[in-house]
Amino acid sequence: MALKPVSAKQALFRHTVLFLASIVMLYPLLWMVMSSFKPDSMIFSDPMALPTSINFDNYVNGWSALAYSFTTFYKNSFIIAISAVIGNLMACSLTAFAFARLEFRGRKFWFAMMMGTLMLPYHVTLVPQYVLFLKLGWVNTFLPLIVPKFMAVDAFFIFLMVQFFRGIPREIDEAATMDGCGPWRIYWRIMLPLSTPVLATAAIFSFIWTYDDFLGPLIYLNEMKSYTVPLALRAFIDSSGGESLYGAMFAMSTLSLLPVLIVFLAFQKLLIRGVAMGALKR
Amino acid sequence: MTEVSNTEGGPRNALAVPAVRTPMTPLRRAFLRNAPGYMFLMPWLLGFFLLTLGPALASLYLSFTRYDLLTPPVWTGLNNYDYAFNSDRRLGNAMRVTFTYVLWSVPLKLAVALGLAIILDKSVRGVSFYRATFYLPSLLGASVAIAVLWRQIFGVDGLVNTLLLLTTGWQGPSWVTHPKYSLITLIVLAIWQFGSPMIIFLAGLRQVPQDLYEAASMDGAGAWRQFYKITLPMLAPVVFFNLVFQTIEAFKAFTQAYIVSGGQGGPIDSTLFYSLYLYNEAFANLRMGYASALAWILLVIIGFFTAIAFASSKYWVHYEDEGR
Amino acid sequence: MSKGMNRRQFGAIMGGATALSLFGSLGARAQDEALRLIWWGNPDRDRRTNEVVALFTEQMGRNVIPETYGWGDYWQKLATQAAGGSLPDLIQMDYRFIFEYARRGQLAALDPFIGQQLELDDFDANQLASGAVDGSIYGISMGANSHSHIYKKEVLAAAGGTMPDHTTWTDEDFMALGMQIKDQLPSGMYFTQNMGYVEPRLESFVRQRGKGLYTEEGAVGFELQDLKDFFGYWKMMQDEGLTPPADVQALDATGRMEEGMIVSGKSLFGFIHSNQLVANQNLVTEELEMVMVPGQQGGVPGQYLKPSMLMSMAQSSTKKEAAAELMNFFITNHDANDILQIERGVTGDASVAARLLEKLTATEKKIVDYLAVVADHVSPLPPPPPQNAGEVDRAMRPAWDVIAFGGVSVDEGATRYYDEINSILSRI
Repeated sequence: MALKPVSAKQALFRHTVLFLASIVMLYPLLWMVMSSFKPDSMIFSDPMALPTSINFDNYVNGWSALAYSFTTFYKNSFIIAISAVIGNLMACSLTAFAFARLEFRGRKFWFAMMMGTLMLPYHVTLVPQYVLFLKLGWVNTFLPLIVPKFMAVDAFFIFLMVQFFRGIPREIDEAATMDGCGPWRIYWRIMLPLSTPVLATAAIFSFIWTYDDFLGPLIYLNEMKSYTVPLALRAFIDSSGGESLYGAMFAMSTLSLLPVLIVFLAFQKLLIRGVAMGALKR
Repeated sequence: MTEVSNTEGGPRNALAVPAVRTPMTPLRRAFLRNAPGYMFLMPWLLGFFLLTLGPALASLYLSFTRYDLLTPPVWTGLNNYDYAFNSDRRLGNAMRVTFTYVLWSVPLKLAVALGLAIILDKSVRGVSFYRATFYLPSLLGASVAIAVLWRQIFGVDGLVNTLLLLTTGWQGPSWVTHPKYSLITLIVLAIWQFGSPMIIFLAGLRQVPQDLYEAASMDGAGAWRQFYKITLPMLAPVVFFNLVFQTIEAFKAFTQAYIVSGGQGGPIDSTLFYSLYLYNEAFANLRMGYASALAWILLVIIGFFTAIAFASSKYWVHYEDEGR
Repeated sequence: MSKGMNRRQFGAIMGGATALSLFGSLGARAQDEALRLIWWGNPDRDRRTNEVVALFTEQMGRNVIPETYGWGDYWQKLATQAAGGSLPDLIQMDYRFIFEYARRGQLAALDPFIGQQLELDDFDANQLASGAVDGSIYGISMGANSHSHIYKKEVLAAAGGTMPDHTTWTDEDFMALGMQIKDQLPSGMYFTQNMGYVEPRLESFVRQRGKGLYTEEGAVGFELQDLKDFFGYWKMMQDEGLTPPADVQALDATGRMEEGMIVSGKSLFGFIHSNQLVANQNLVTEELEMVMVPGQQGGVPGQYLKPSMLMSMAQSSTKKEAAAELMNFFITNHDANDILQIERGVTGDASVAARLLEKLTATEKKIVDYLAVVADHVSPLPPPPPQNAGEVDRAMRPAWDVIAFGGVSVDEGATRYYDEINSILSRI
């Protein structure tokens, strides 16, 4: 936290910027929430009008409008997302530690390969991967969505953690090695605790992105009872010209923000606490 | 706080010469030196070989075929690449749209993310609220709701036009469905979702030692000087990361264009992102072979720019673990 | 002892998490005997379909696993499943895609089952023929529909207009009506949505001239001049202020009804397929009337009855007889159709149609009445579209938009699109 006292002018400037920015950020969401309280016929014919009454019909109907209630969908989403977080944190931190801290032949080569996996558009490996999982018998289960996380398939997190690990001075490792610590202990006892901000960041993103992912569930989940929330939300809208339930969709979309928002609010404290780097100075 | 000494006694170093007398041949030394690295790398290696490499090579193979997904692939050699480079008018269009998108959205998004992260890094009243507010739009991700929302804001009767009408009396066009402006609305959408890079910047700012700032203030340095001399250099690895990642993602961007334009990239291909074109070729026109070729072309393009970024990083990114 | 057991803890956590995820796979194996059915839809259709599925299981004792997606995702999922050889037993098909899938051997020919599991004696012969490709039937129509125009009854009356006889009116009548009342329309509302990019409208247009979109051999079925006339007419409509300007009109490019001109209050007349009336009416407060598409001076009837969607069977299915029973249940079973009603279109099974007549709402009756009128003014079914026909359809919108936004003249735009059609059709 800054110790310098903030002048009133600076504080005013800051708050103005933040406040205006917040309105811009929030307006679309506010529109969505507002619409979720309106009946379908009003949403598009009168988009700017405020709802005549706070009507929870869309929420109540939307929850059970599909063949399965959203309880099922949330449960599925959570199982997948939480497993993905665990997998990502474990596998990606191990891999990142190897790239950032350990010497081994071929390190640069494998790093380049890892970056390569980030660059390939996923629509093209989609079909071969599907066939692979089909042969394994994993289609229509959660396995294709979870097991890859334990194999550090999300290169983004590896890259992220590598950047952060490289920001931690090597002297710490060297001191530990001289005291007899092997790589595992350095990883487990030193690197991880010092990396709480990046681990928290990775956990937040991993949860949110897995939760929001619809392409994976679309391809691998056949039955509606295994659907995740984003996939279920798409069932409300019929762009072939049939009847859509927009009010219910907005209501459920609003609700679907809650878990990710809560996760974010819970983990952001870890970002705040930070690390007292002063203790590690030379 | 951090445990740096081994107090339990026992073996001092997992890699110390074992008590058993095996000769330390060069091979064995190499093995022991590389072993820890590969042990840590094992989960990723498994995933890479089993889950990524196979499908990636399959897609490379498919790029030399004609494949409609419903019948087996037929080898056609370089036909797909030839068509892409010589005859595909729409591809050139898609490239132009995508490059424009990358060139505008990435710097703006990062600038906004960094700016707000710095403001939020100081203890401002209500910082948790603001942080959550700025991140909220990113949570909507690929939601169908975004498509509707964006039209409600940028459509002919939308918010922007209502405001314009009120303040200037001028009736604006339907921004989101006008060929000249539609891409701009998507760039705005990208910037609107700056939450992710902002969070990463915040985490990076947290790692900048506060005593550096204190020392600088005591030496009389103002806010801007502190920014240039302390914040930016210390943040360089994070800036680099965000730059590389956001650029890659921007090249691959698909979902926003898909849902806002209804999958068509219109009007008149003005929002035909490269990935959207690829997707339509694969699944709507059933030309998966051609789509695979397009994917590998994109991979090369992205790889090229990423390599440049990495090469240039020697000059402006300095890590704490210098000497690598 | 060093805390090397961290590795073991680590291993335990890995194992535990994997076990946790295996819970998701339990229960997936138990359904090997069940039939799989896939369709695209919306909450209403999903509800009805699931009820029918439950009814089938109850009456026939066989399990059915339903799979449903939104329209956009449906084709991606289907293609992926086809690539892996894991298509569901029964597939809801669209008129455009059924030929792609059938010609590539993904669908089973249904002829062996007709007369056996598929009791189609009461089924309209024309409707049946509409699912034929190269001499075999690959899909059974789940409901008929036809092109139509809709308009807001009260608004027309309030603007001082009267609707001419819709079975004989022409494009000139249409434009004349528009010119007459355009200034009396509510602010922000135009006479009609633009149809310069609506391929079914083009189809009606060229059919009225005795031609068609495609020939039997799969080439373009109309001439460049027809296209110029068509684009020219709609550009004129736009220039006269009878249709919304190009950028406003482009708001409906997503295909979502809610973004269409009728629902958002921007036009009085609109183009729909007849089975979309109910959904449109639900979103609009004014009453909608349905009429035929305007014809041309000296032209022949251009409309025809086509399947809104078809039910097909996967060639890779291992339970074809059972699948045929399920298909039959959907199409001919009275209890099932009491649930489905005409949500997918008016069924071709005469006994079912007669039975449903009493249960329909006023709006639904309009559809049935309309189709009855249209049935007297149709010309024969067009031949099955050639490969890449879908791409031609999708290319029409940008081709029209260039003209509409003023980028090129009508002649130039028509020539470009005509050439593009030919090049798309010749591309393998």
